[in-house]
Order: sequence, then structure tokens, then C-alpha cells
Amino acid sequence: MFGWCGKILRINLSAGKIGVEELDANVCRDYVGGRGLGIYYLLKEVDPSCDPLATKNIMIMTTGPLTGTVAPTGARYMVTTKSPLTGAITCSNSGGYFPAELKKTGYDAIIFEGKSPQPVYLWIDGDQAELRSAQNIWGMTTHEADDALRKETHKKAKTSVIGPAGEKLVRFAAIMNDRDRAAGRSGVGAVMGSKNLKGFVVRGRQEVSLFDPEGFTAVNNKYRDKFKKATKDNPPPLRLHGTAITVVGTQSHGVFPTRNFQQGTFEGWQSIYGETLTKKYLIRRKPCFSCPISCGRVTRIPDGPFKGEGEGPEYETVYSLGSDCGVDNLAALTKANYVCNELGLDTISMGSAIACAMELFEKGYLDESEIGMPLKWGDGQAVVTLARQTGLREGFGDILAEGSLRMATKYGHPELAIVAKGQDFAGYDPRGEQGMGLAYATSPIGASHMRGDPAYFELLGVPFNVDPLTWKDKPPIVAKWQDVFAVIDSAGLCVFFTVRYLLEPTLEARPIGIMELLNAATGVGYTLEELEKAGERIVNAERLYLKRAGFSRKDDSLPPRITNEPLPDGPAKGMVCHLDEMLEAYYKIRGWSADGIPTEKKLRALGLIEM
Amino acid sequence: MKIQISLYANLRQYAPGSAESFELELAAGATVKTMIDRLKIPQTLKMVILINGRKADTDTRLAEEDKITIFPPIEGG
Ligand code: SF4
Repeated sequence: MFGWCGKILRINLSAGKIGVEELDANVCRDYVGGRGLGIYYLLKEVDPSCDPLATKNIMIMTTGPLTGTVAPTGARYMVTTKSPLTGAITCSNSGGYFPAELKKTGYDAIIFEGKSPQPVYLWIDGDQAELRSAQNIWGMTTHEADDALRKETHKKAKTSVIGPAGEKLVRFAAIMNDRDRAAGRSGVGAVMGSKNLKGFVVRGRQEVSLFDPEGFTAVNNKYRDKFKKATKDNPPPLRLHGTAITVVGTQSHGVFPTRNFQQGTFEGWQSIYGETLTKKYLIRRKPCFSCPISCGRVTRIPDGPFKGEGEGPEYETVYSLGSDCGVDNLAALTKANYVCNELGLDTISMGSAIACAMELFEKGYLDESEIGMPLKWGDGQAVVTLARQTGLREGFGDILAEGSLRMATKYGHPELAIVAKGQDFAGYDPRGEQGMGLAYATSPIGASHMRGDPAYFELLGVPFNVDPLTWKDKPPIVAKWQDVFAVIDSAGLCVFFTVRYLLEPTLEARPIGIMELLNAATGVGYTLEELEKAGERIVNAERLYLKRAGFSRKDDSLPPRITNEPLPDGPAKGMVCHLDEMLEAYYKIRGWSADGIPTEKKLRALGLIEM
Repeated sequence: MKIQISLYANLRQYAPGSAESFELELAAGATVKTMIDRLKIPQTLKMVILINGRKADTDTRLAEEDKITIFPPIEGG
């Protein structure tokens, strides 16, 4: 096999057994890798009704055929499991250097089953894998664990670990690789913690073998040249100012979520956006493996109460720990970001849970005595303190650790949790960005901007902008983009480069550059139609799993604030999200029933019927 | 008429004195294209142009006190 390694590693943690299995070439072709392979194994092996934190759940780490190659941004891996936050699936992915290193061990996927009786970690050196005791590192932060594990194994090895948050089963705990890169969403870190697995360490010893090395170099150069030409005199915004430059796009359209989505513009936005970060705290930019953009930020708060050094914040964090909590203190939210990274927390769900608590407090549903402090909008110190308490499940943090929906329900006001399928929104208010509303509601992991991201064509000008306030035109575009994002996530690429440079610059977003890279790497000879169909197959496979887990149209919903309460401010003032009208059309386009379930005809057409 | 303009990221180089926001005096009836030319932003550059938060094209007419936001396509957030 080329591109793929053709092997997976299966670890039974209960028995302490490690086995190697062959990967079927047809499965590779049909599901591509990464996210596709993840859902393939989840569908086959995990009882949809199981408790996500019970021994029966499995955790699947997958790379794509382009991961570890020199393809631009061939840097991603994916974590698929059943989510303890939502009960739906996870597909949390991350870049950095760990994923490429993992691929170079010669395995496309690692599947963890069962639960270890004692804390352990997995060490893979070349193709040799062993489970080792993690007794001494249990309890460590992600940074401490990274140091300790590399000391115990190899200083050039790459790690992927959980922090105290994952060990303590915080429902939105992340898995952190290369210290500060996060497979962040949906609580994958808690699943790892529930298995007594602290992390894994990899040292790759073989390059990915390519079907047509010369052809691959030619395609790679073609797209890198395209990028170089486009950015020669105009460096990419993400390199200049990191993803936090996106605030310009959301604030100017009036969709920058503020005070738990009570407003769509934030008066303090200039204090916390990307250009301010560059001026005040940026030390250096940090790329992932094989990335020409380099959007990562290494930052330092030189002094004051929030003194510290680390990576971030990204746009999503600037929204969640910033505007959504009314915080315009960049040092405070950056510090809270460092705390989340070190304890292993998803910054989006952390900030959203605090914002939700702030509104519960504002409305008098939650008392100061329960929190241990007054919780006012804009209190940066409180945000830092609560992030720490959550990661350690101390004090009120123990309640926040259950996530915003469970917390808001406990205090009698579930409507104040701004979630879809129980997962907190990303930093875009769908009232001023209708396509995003449909994407949040239909995403298989609950609210996420990374499942077809309509912000590209509604706000950010990629490939060009359509009116963000219209809804009748959105269902076909969202469905198309969801399918093509499934391909990106399965190939092992980063969305940021791919959307701009490897897709046809139309609303059809045909994955032409991905196809060329995949064909040179694997020799499979995908046509564009086949590759797009693979994306559709993956989306439908995910939907099939959700159906078996009891999800249907009733769960493709948004909170009443979004569908009933008009936005009070900004350019989108007066708008609500017209979800119901979009859903109807969307299901028809998808070939799903009126209840949002893939029909037998659709499953047959995609070769999913035997699943 | 007077309009207010904000330029972001690599477009900042076209702002007088590299200011994030500045005012510009234009003749009545001026369009977005007039403004772009005045600022000497190359027509070939890809941009997102908003007038008071709503999408505008190069032939959209400007009005007194309009707030214009211009930024390059952003690869993601
Ligand atoms: S664009 Fe950013 S996230 Fe994507 S591969 Fe490059 S550095 Fe990593």
C-alpha cells in the first residue's frame, strides 16, 4: 500500500495486550482515512447505547494518507469515540508534530479498548509498541507529562497526553499533543482518562511510502507555488496575526458572541483581537508539520497578575474566554488559555460554561455562595480561577466540569446553555450567519464550526462572500461543504490551507487539489466524483451511528435564544436563525427522511447498507 | 462627504500613517471603487468590503458617515 501504511495497532488495555491488524484496501479507498476510518471502526465496534465513560467504549486515533507527507499541512490526526459531553460521536483533530510522527511509526490507526487496571502510557518506537506504567506521571499537567515522558523514552519523541482534567473526567477534557495542540472538543480527554491511559509517546522511524514520488513532488510544488504567489506581497492574515484576526470578520458582521450570546458585537473587541495580540504578547509564530502558513502563536505575558508563557490564544478562545464572558483583558484570557492547555481543557466549552454561569448569576438563578465568589461579566480573574478549579474539579469547578448544559439544567434554566446536541457553540452567532446555524444543528458532534464551516463564504471571503443573512440559499451549500470537510479531515490535511488553495474557488468547493495529492500518494486513482462521494459516505456513516444512538430531527436544534430572540445589536440586529426552514430543504438534499434519518436508498447508494 | 474607513492585516499598508481607522473626504456620489482608487489599493487584491456591516461591491455608492471595513480573505478561525 502507498500513502496508507496498511496496518493498525489494537491495544486491549484491560488485558494489557497489543496486536497488529491489517487494514483492508477497500476500506481505505472508501473511507480515505482520519475521520472516515474513525467512523468506520466506531460503527462496527461500539454499541451506540453504551456509556461513553464505560469500558465498552473504544478510542480510535487515526491519521490520513497525506499525514506525515510533505503535502502542505499534512499534519493532522483524528480522535473518534463516543462523547461523554454529548452522547454523540467525537471527531476531534489536531495538528502539530505528533500526528506526522505517529504516521511514521507505520500505523494508520491505533484503537484502544477496555480499561487498564493501573495508569499506563503507550510507547511506540518504530513499529514496536509497549504499555508502560504511568503511575509516576498520573496527576501531572500536560507540560510536565510531556517533559517526563520524553525523558523516559526519547528526547525527540512526540507526545499526546491528558492533564488532570482528563483524569478527573471533566466532560470537555482535551487530549493535548506537542504540549499545546489540542484534540479539543467533545471530551475525548475524559474517555482517555476513563481508560486509565495518560497518553502516548511516538518515535517514527520510516517515511510514508508514495505511489508516484515524482508526481507527488510536482503536485506539491504546484500548490505551494500557488500559495507563494498569492502571499508574496500579502502575507496570510493567519501568519501575521494568528486566527484571532478573525474577530475582524465576526465583529464587523455583528456575529461576535458576547455575554453568552446576549449580543452580537463586543465593545472591547479591539483590546483582544489578533493585531493587539501581535503587538502586546507575541514572541514567535509556530507552524505545524509541513505548513507554509504558520498560524500558531507562542506568547508571553511579561508581568502582572496574569504573568505566564505558552501558546495561544486562538480566535475561538478569544471568543469563549473573552467576549462571551465580557472579558476585554487580553492578558487574563490568555492566562486562562494557558491554564486550559496545562490542565487539558477545551477552551471553547470552558469559556462557554463560565459565560453561562455568569448569566445564571446575573439573572439571580445562581448564588454567590455556591460559586464562592461574585461572578460578574468581564471579571478576567474569575475566568482564570474557574478554569483552574474546573480542570481540578475543585469547588464550583466540579459543577462547571459537567458542561454548560448539565449545569444550566441543574439550576433550572437549560435554555441558557448555548449548545447544539449538548456541545457549546463556536464563536459565530447564527442569527447573523444563517448557514452557520444549519451547520451547528446538523453537525455530528454537536455545535462546531469545523464541520463545513460556513464562516468562510458568509464572513471571511473564501472563496467569496454570499449574504450571511439569507437562509433559503444555504442548505445545498452547507451540505456540499460538510461533505468536502469530511474529505479534508480524512485525508489528514488542515482546513486553513486546504479551503483556500486545494479546493476549486467556487461554492461547489470541489476537492481537486486533494484528489491530485491523494492520487499521487496512494495510486488509488480517485475521480472527483468518487472523492466527493467518499465525503458524503462519511457524513452518512456518522449520521447512521447517531440514529442508532437515538438521535433524530429533534436533536438537530438550536437554543431558543437563537431561533426566537432577535439579535439586539449590530448589523444583524433584528435577526433570528431560520433553522426549521433550512432543515426541511437540507434533509431533502441529503436524501434523508423528514426525521433526518438516511433512507435505505441513500445508504445503498453509498455502500453503507451492510454497515 | 466624509466616510470612516478601517483596514486590517496586510491592507493596513494602504492606510494613511498606517492608522487602523481614519476618515476620508469624497465627492458626493462616490462609489467603493472611487475609494479604493483613492487609497491606491490594487484592484487585483482580494478583499472583503463591508459598509456598515453589510456586504458591498465595487460599484456600491457611498453615503455620508458610512463606516467601511475592509479586510483580506481570512483562511480560518
Ligand atoms: S494553518 Fe495553522 S493549524 Fe493549520 S497546519 Fe498551519 S500552523 Fe497548523
